[in-house]
Amino acid sequence: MSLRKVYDVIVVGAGHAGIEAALAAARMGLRTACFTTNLDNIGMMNCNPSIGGPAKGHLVREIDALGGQMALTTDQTFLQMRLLNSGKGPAVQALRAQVDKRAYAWKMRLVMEQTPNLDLKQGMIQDIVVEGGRVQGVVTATGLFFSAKAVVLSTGTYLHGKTIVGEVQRQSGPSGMAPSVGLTANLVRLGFEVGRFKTGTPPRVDGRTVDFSVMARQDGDVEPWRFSFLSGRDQREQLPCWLTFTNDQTHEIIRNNLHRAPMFTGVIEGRGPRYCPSVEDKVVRFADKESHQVFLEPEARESIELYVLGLSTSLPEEVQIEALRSIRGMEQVELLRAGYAIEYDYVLSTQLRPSLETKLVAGLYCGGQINGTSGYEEAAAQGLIAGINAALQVQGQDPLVIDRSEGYIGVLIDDLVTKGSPEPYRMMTSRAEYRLMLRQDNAHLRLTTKGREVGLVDDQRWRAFVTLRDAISAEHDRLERTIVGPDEDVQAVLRHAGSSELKTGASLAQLLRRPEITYDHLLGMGAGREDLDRGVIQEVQTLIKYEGYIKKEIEQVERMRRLEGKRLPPDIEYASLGGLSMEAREKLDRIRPATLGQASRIAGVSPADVSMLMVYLEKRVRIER
Amino acid sequence: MLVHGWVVDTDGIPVDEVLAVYMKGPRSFTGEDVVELHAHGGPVAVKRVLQLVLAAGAHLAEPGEFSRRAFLNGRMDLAQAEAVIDVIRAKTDRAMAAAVHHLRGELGQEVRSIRDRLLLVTAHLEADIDFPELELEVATIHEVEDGCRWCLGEIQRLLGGAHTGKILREGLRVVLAGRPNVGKSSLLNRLVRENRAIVTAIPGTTRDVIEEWVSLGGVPVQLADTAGIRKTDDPIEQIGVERTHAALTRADLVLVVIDAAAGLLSEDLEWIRQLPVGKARVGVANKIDLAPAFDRRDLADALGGEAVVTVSADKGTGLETLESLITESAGLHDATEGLVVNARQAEALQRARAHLEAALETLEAGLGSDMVSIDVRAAWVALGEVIGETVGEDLLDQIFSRFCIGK
Repeated sequence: MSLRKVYDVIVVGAGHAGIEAALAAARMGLRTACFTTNLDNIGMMNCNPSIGGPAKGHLVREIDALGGQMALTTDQTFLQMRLLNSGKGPAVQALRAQVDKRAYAWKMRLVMEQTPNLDLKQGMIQDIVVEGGRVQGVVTATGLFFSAKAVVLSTGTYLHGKTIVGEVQRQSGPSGMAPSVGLTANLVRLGFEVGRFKTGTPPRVDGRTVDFSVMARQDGDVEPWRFSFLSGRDQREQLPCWLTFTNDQTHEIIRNNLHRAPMFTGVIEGRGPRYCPSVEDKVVRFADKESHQVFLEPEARESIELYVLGLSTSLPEEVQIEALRSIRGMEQVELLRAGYAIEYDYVLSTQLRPSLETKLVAGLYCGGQINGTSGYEEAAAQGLIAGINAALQVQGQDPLVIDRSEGYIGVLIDDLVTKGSPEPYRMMTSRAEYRLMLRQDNAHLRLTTKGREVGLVDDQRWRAFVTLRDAISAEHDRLERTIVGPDEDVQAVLRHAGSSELKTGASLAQLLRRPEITYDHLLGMGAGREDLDRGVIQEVQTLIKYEGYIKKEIEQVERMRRLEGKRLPPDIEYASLGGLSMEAREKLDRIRPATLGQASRIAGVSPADVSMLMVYLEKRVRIER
Repeated sequence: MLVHGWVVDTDGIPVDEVLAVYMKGPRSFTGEDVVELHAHGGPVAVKRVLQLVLAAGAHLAEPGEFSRRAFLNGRMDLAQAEAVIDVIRAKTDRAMAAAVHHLRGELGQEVRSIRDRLLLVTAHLEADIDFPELELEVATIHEVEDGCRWCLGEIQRLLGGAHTGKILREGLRVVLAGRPNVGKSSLLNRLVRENRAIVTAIPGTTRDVIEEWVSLGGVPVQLADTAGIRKTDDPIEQIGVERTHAALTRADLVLVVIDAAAGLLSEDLEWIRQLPVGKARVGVANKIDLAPAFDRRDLADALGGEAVVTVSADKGTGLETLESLITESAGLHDATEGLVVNARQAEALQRARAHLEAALETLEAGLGSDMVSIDVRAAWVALGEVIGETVGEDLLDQIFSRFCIGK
């Protein structure tokens, strides 16, 4: 017997992307191996102890619908759960969890250990073996070769990682872990273009040295939702977060030390995310702002460690301590770990296909922060798709590509492979043009069927889904069909809600369409169903209440679709196509978009360029006729 | 770069002495490299030069080809490209002036400033949605409300120019109507003789309805004389009557002409009753020189109080008043102040207006910023269509219908 097994799929990295990729491939029945530089660091949350939020929460729900793991593990280990944007309409409401970092990482490792077909291995991968344009396997730093039909790279921020605190720099992954060295050079040798990004994290402090009495307490929801529709309810105690603010003194300390800030001294070369600026960046760019929010978040249930959200920094350690102690409630605070900036290599994502397979090497996939994204959720979503598609390829099947109209995952990946990103890419709801349809509350309705088709949705999940789906459509029908008259119990509820009274009969759906009427009012009339799951009620209410808006959005989508549907023949010679701008010619030639819609989203391709392409296509059709 | 030289044929024999201009792209009309040859004016010389150029591989420009290339090369927005066509087709100085405004991209600038504001509104909405911890909600609602209202006002102002645009482009249709022998033809001839007649490419469709184009105070006016309407069994005359009805239906203004010398007859009244409802009308009492005692109030009453003017087509009196009544009825904006927009642009502006109104309603109903944003976004897209910055099927249709591509 050979020393080493032959694998179908090898996943490099066991962070949020690697976990989903490895679990997906193994659950789809493929012989899978997952390599990590340290088995004790599986599923680490190296930055904030939270999962979800606008758009990110949507991604987690979609991962769940497709049969991924992130939602389930978050539900098992959350410390606090809140529905954000609850007053802003159903499409942008978003679930956000404070998560117990230790419990999360531990649970994730356990899930992986218990998954059949999956081998966990500690080892640093240094080279990718490619023959005839197809991946053959990987080589570890210790010189072992492992054969695989497909390889998923999900190396996160470890590639050639370098951390910076003030004047101190070291070769390191996040949280002081070993960086991945050598792989970048080999990727470049294979022909990949790589870039360098920067991100950062705030200091962590000792909760015993914080005076919470002068801070605003922020609690979780009384009846918290869950990310996965499979998760049951429990009565666990939720932990609070605490809000305080920076002040003049804090800003003064930071300003006085800007000459020692790597962000400004030229030490940091990589581009950082604008939406997640360091505190020194905020103080410089928004000089007129008197204070900035600072949230203290628990890192784990059984820990004194607190994460200081809003104070991401790479200032020298002693400056961090001084700045922290200038903040109300933290005058006596003890620093546990200093904040730091981290630079790392990433692979330019426009070198990928929509399946996340590299265009350069067949069978090689990239998912997660290696593609220039930020965030656990973005990473997990890509890891899941990369793992599914690696597995599908080994099985000889077509890849799974989620359309922009079907999910945030589709938006994320289409943006990455079409546009790339000049800064670490974060998912935001504004990136989704089909936002009203891509609600977090209907992710399972949108994607469970796709998860079932690829074989990731097991019978238990499928049955639960079918029950839910049928309950929603039954209640929807009932509300449309049930007519109430101007009886006193109906009128009383309407009066109380400040709604006009009925003159003739009306369907319950018609009543629900009134902005001021909710399902609770129907219950008050005795016309609602008390026994229904609140997920069902919410879904039905949204469908009915916002029907007109959703229709409007569908119309807009249809218009876009016509553009989307126009295929760009692969033989177009953009270089010789008159009327295109130089930049458009170069970009189109390099990215070679499949459709006119994709072409229109490429940065540097102007509407005039798109018109030119439309005219060209139309001419071509006319000539062919 | 201007160069002097000779055009020579393939055997090297001089054909004409010319000036050649070389304009290097993108600083040319189309944005491409352009060479112009300025030959002597004689038909033979020009023809010979043209033959040589064509033999060397050039082709004759298709209608609108230069504008199309300029648009596709990003040298002008769609409104400007359309304006080129309007400049070429302009019938009067005033229509020309309006088209030139467009050519200078002024509509584009106006629309872009509205779009910029909407982008700001969107930025507020999106920041509030994606960064809820910043607690921007109250400020956002104010910005959305103010922004949408300001944009609505601006769109309304631009739409005010839509009617003017139509009149300047297509002309004001004025139909002279009245029973036979009240002097309609002589009135028409007089108006044509005293004003600059416009030679138009649009031919008169029938001998029974005589059409002439004149420029009245810069407004292109199509004057149509109609056959008298009377009950008749003569099939030929019947056709004339039908055509008169058709002309009246299309009219922007009807001149109801009567014979002042004969007075207001029951036949005239019958006539007035048969006019299509809702048309702008002016009463014209002709032959006033023969009936100095004519009381114009009779005709005014018959017309429900509308303006009446007394004229003499023979003597040429009262014509100025009539002309100013005609131009007033067009209700034109001053072309130098407002911008005139064409039907396609007006349609897109109206759609943008409807979306912004819907966005404000949604905001008032408190239905959530995601629902508000859908209409704000749609308004932004619609405005983009005005200047060709949003790409859609409609734009493709426009390009193909206006620039004669790929016949």
